[in-house]
Amino acid sequence: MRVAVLARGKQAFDVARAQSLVNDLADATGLALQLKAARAEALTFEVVSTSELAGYRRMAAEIGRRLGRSRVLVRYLGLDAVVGEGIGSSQRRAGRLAGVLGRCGHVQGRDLTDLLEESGGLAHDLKEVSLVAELQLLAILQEAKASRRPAEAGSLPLALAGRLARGAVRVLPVTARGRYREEFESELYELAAAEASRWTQFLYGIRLVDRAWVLRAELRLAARRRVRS
Amino acid sequence: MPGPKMTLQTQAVLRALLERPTHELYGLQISKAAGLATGTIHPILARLEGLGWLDSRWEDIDPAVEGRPRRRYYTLSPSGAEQARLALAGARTPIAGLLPGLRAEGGLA
Repeated sequence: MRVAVLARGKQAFDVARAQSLVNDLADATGLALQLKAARAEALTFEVVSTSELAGYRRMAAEIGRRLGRSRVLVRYLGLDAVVGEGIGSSQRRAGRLAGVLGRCGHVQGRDLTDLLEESGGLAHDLKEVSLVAELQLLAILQEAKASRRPAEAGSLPLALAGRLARGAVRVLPVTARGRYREEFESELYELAAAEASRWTQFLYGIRLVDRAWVLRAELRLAARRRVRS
Repeated sequence: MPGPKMTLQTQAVLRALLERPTHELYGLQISKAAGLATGTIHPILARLEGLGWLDSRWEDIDPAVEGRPRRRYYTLSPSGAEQARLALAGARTPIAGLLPGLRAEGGLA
């Protein structure tokens, strides 16, 4: 819901990153809550197997990865440093949790409650920092909307053209998608900034889709050439 | 390694790039200079880049500071410029005379 609000008020490339941040924080919080739930149930377990412990360790490590990416996005989006610090603190906590879980073999259920002790605090902190980050994102976007000059009102890329561009990117080899997603977004932005009509932007998106398979073939051919040489 | 198929569009792109071989241009600028529709040249650029005729790089800006996405800039490589000149000289369909009529209207820099 929040991301839909963001999408109406900000350029596509910022929205994509804001959306990634919101998603990463939500996913990290969800994983932390799962670990917290596992801790609550742990007393009912007789023995926790090595593979179960490995699963919990992977969840903690995944939290750490998502928070690492979130910190980069927080800097990129210009959020307050306190959000980055909060995420950094949670990332360290997730790292400790993963480390502890990684050092154990199978344990008794009651031991798991000790091992997962950090999970409750982690989930709590992540819920708070996610809320603060989302509120800041909304504030930034509201400010951007309020300060937008009339001449800039027409400079937002056409959303439909953006969707077409993203559709064209999906056809391309995986390794090239990031580059072309950014390149198409940039060109669409330039078109909009040059006051190109909505129709012109739409045609741009259509042409990208129309030539996506040719571009895919060229990229694959270039990759084969690189392998051969 | 064989050169690219010298279609009219490929010739137009190469001529546009050879007009200012040391200048870096991003996709929309190349489209405009070549008189081709926006959104149509990426396969050509990918082919030329794959052959080593073109180099490309991201614009060195911080999008958060500039408030816009970074551009992907293209330029002819030194060997590419030479090969492009030779290829255009040998192309059967000279299009230089057609270019002014093909140039797209628009206000992009």
